[in-house]
Amino acid sequence: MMGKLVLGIMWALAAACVIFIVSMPINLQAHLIAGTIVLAVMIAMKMFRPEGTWRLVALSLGTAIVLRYVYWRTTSTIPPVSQLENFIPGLLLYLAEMYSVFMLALSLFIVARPLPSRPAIEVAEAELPSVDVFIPSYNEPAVLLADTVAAAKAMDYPPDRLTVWLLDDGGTVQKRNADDVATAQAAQERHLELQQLCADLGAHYLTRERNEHAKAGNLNNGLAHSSGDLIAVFDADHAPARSFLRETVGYFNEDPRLFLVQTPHFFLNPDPLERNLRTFEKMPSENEMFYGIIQRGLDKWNASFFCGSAAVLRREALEETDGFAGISITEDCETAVELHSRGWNSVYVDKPLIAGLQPATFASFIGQRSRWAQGMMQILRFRFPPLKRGLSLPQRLCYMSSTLFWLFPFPRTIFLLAPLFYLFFDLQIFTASGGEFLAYTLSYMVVNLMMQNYLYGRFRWPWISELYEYIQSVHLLPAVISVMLNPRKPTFKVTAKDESISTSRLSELSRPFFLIFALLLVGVGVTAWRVYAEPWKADVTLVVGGWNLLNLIMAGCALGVVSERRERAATRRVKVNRRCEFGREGLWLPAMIEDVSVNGARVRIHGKNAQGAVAEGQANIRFTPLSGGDPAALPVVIRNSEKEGDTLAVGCQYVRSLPDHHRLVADLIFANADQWTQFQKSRRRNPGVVIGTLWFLRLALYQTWRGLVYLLRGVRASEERRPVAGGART
Amino acid sequence: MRLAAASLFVLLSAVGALQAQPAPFDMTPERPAPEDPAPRQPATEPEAPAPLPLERARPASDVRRLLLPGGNLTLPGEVAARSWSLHLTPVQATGPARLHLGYRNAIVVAPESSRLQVLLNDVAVMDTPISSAGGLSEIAADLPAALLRAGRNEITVRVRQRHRTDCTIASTYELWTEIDSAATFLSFADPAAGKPAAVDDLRALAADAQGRAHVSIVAPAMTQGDIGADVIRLAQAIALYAALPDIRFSVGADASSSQDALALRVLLGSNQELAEQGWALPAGAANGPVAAFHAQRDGNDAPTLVISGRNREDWLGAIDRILGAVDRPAGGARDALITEAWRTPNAPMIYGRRDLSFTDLGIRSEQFSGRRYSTGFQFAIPADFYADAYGEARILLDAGYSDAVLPGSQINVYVNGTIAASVPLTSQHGMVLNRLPIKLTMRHFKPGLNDVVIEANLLTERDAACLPGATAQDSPRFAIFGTSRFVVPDFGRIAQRPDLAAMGGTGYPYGPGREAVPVFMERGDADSLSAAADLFARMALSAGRSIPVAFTSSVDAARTHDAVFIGGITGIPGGVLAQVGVSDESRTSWATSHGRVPAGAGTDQADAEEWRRQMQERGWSHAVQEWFAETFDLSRDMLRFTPAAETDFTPSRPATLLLAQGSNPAGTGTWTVVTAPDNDMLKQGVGTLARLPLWNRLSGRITTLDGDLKTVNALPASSLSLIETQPRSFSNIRLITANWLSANILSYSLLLVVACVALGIVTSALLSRLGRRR
Repeated sequence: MMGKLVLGIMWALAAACVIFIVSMPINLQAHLIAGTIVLAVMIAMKMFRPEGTWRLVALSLGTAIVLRYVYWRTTSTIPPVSQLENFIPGLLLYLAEMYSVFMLALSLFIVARPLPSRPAIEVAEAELPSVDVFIPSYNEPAVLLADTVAAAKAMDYPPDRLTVWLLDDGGTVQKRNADDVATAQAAQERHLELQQLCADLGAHYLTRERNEHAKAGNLNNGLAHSSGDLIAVFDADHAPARSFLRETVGYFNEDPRLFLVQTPHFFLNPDPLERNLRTFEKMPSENEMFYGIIQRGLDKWNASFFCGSAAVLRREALEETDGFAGISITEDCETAVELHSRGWNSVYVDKPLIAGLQPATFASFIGQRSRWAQGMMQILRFRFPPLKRGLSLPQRLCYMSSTLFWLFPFPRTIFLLAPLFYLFFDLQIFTASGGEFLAYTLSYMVVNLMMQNYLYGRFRWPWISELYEYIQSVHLLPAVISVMLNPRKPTFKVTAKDESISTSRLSELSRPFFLIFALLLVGVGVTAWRVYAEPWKADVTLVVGGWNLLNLIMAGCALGVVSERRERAATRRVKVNRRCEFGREGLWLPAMIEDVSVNGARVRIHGKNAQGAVAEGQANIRFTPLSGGDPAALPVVIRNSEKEGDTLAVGCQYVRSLPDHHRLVADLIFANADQWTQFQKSRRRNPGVVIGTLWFLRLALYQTWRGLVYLLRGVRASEERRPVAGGART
Repeated sequence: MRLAAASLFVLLSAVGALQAQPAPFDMTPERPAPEDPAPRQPATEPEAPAPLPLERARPASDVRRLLLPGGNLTLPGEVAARSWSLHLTPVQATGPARLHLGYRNAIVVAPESSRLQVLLNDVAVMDTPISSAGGLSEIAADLPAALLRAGRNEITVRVRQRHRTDCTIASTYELWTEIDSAATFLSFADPAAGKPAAVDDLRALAADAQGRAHVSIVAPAMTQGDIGADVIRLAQAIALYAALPDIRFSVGADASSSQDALALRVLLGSNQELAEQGWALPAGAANGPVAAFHAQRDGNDAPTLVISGRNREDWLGAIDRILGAVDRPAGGARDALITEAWRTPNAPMIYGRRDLSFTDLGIRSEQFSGRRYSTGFQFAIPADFYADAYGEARILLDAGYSDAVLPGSQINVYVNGTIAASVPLTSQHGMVLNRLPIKLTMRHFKPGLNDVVIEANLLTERDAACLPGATAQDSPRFAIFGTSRFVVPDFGRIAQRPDLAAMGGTGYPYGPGREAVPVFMERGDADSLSAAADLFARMALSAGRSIPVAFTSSVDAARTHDAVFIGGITGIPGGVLAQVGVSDESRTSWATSHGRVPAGAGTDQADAEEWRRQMQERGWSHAVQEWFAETFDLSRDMLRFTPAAETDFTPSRPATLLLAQGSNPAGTGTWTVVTAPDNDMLKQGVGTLARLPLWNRLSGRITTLDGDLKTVNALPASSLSLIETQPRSFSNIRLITANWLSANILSYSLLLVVACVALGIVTSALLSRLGRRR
């Protein structure tokens, strides 16, 4: 305790010292040189991949430059109040920048030293608590649910202590009695089909009277009908690995006040950005920054929160708050805030233990993000974590960061438009000379990039955060404003994840992106014209024009994101390399399953009779499930085959005619969680700021071109379609 | 920007190469020096057939009071004005008076659209077209009764000038009007007007046609002992009364030494001593202290002030009485630096955060229809100003320009002759500028008087076309408002040693003290004493108070004090020269360099340094350096941890006077050495350098005056000691540190890095004890 106090005082002194030095009104030259030196030190340290203390030293160096920028920005760049037309946009820009700096500060606090991955805790068989698995569903197809239920059932856990519940909100009484006959009919059919499925797989089917409080209400209904000590929640498309419970349940025995063990969400398919930019295989996914490092950082401060799925919760804790909270449309985080404030603890396990799907189209991606943003705004409004009683100071800061993050559409929009104020309307919203702007803003931007790289390097490549924020901002801005005006209005909308893109096309949400791109392009033209026509202020024009150009590059890259590529496979293949036998009754050949997807597998058959085995177009894969038991056969249809030396490579598709087949498919894809970890690791490279930036630039140029090609093709296609439609009418 | 950087470059590389350098802080070539009128008409023309409006014949009894404080006054450009104050004796103020003005102007000034105005106490007494291109014109006007006041009066001369044919901005530099000093005066019919009656009439002391006020002090006892200090005290008292730009004292034991036209003669000595030399004394002199004007019969019609008594105590008392009326107690702050004798308003003294309106600074709202508008103000800052490396003052400009003004026009602000800010006027539709912030770097601020010039260069289409009569157009294009403000932030305050600029500007460190300043003088001869009188009189004016001195011929007496050493170079002890960074060899070499015919250094002598520099200029690294220098005012010399070491300086021809400053051996005070190759040059040099505005160019650790008596060179000090002048406060220490670190950038960088490393380490230690660890 004493040591902590002394260290705290020392830290305060050191911080005061840095602030004193930073806030000295030194001249431009001193800033420029000091900034360059600090940057050089940061770059030099980067060479040695600093860990621990040295990483923090590098971060505090960066912080010093950021603070110098803040000092300069605050003391000498805001336009005078007497010029309101400059002052108001100038102040907005200033606030936007300060928001960014504030969020950077919160991030620094959270991920200053993320917890290392936790070791699993072994629990004696006899002490294992009873677990209810909840799989809430609203409209997902049965085949998807079957895989998830089968995977849940296959989890390595004593069967007498594991109950799997399919919580169906698509077959409620309310739905089945809907006024619309077709809807009612569909609900009725779904009700029966899922009941049968559960019966076949050994799970419990549960539905309720009315669809009240959406997902939270559904889960609470499950709570009311079950009695296990722990609740594991999986979204309908989130199939758990066999080891899921073994890796998570142990923590509950260790800490009686533990209410949550959260695990990462791992996705088998790319999100629209990854698919359209083709980065899924080589670049870490968007959510890896959150699950790979932020949650670990939150975990240090006991603030890791519930993300709706892939988590285990304690019934006792949930009962204290009457189940899952349902004021906001992000019931998960809201529940966690509430329980944290009541002194319950959470734990984050940094290992992908479920595999799921993410929205395939840009539109559903935006829909999902709108829900998150609106939900977080509702939490901010109704629970206001920074002042919530019961939360510790670090927890308040953590929740502040998680909720305030979703205000990013505002600063993003301001950064996008700010240069145009100058280029189009000649407003001086940033009073500085070209030289000052260059010296301060450039050093700030480069240091910012460096710091991002220090913080998230392996998990987030340069400029990708900005790109994600930009593509979301365009549609999230109205969503966030609307929830601010009507905080109770938004309702829970289930994100569609099973869509597929059969033809290359522009997203239905793409129009604003093209308009913005055009606007920024005009800005570039105006820059050139003004440099030519008004040479006396060319320095400022060039600097502002450069900023606009940066926005244009970002907007151009976004054109690629909204140009949806046609996709052949709905889901990605995962490498498994598993022994099996291929053939039919009486003719079994040794084979190797190379990779699998939700729909099919690629098998390499050895032996001379291989050709004969595939001749019929149908065959079986026989293998021993990881969950134990005797070898079982999974029927497949041969899609293609190719002879390679002595072996035959065969692409085949599963035929799931029996419930047991679902179990086998689940065993193939979901049983082994290590394969997902391997896949993630293969993408976690840090390209560094320079190479990352060059790579991004190339990507942006190519995607701009692709977006424009899609646009032209779309225009041409609609012109061609029109006469055909006319002809059909006659 | 570029030129500022260039001159900085020059400054920083000046160590050891003083003679080669142009004066630092020189006027940039972008803009001609205001004191230096452009191509001038031959000024002297034979008494021409010009029909002078003034009758030549004047009554013999006519008494003249010259008006210009500093010799001929040149008013350049399209608008110019000058105001100063004028003290008149009660006799001068009451009787009828006539104002005479002589002027000539550039031939290109168009008479029909140019005017010259004279205001006395805010009443226009003359308003005439400017049409004296052919030679001197003299005009006169009878002053209305009761216009003049006893005591302080204010006079303003204002011109508006337009070019006859040219509409370019460059052409405005050809415009000038010169007011002739000898022909510009008040004439009084009353013969008594020339005779000062009371001691207070010392304020009415006027300069001669050359702008010089020559004061002769006759002190018969001078040779007898240590009354030098009393003479200096008297000289300071007179200077504080008259406060003219150029007062020259000649001190002698008898009247013989001074033959020129005197502005004043002072007799200092006991009743008996003066009587022995045959001076007429006022009645009271036999009974006690006396200080009074008393006419003499020796043919010299200069007013004579007699300071006498029975003995030394008596006349010391008399000096004290005179001084009492104008002196300022030690330790107090001043509101302003007194400049009104040559320019009003007085320069406000800015000690820290200050916000002054242009009206307070003497700039009135004004509109303008020409192409180059110019106005300015002055202010003063204390000797312990320490913000030259980082500080930024601001002008919040209230102004407006019409839609006739084209983009590309700009407002430039010059501080002490160096451009400090340039604001483009970018709107194509005219604009009202409301509190437009203009940042002025404080780099060119210096202790004492500072001069700011605001200039607007206005381009218009009409000027580009320049049709006949265009210059006479009267529609206003530009206006500046008195509500504009000059805002100075808090700045670091700590004195530096050496800093001749502080001595020049405010008399620091000799000004503020109560104790007598030891003045080392080898020989108390008339020339040395005159030089000391000139020097201390000027310092008293800078300091705004008299500086007590004590003459000594022992270096030890000065060892722990702020002291001044005056004398020929051979008379200054070698140890003292070393202390102020002047090489010992200069004792012999300087004098010889003056005695010798210029030889040796031919123009074709190779200079390795110069060659190297020229070769470097071609490389790409030089291009990069150039770009940095231009964009950020950055140079390689700035990359330093601490200031560079200094080398001893050896003066040589053409320098004729050397002022050098350093720390005393104890490190507790400042030593200033004022020296020249011989005593003659010393008197001549000090007399010249003590003149304004030359005096304001003292700076650095060494300043020299060349033999042409115009060129001042300064060697900037690189290693400075700092002397606390203010009670310690956090904010002052912060600002001082900021300035020091801004000048020693690598130290700042190192400090920042070290602090960050410390923070990182402590954060790491703290983090391993906070939150979860596993």
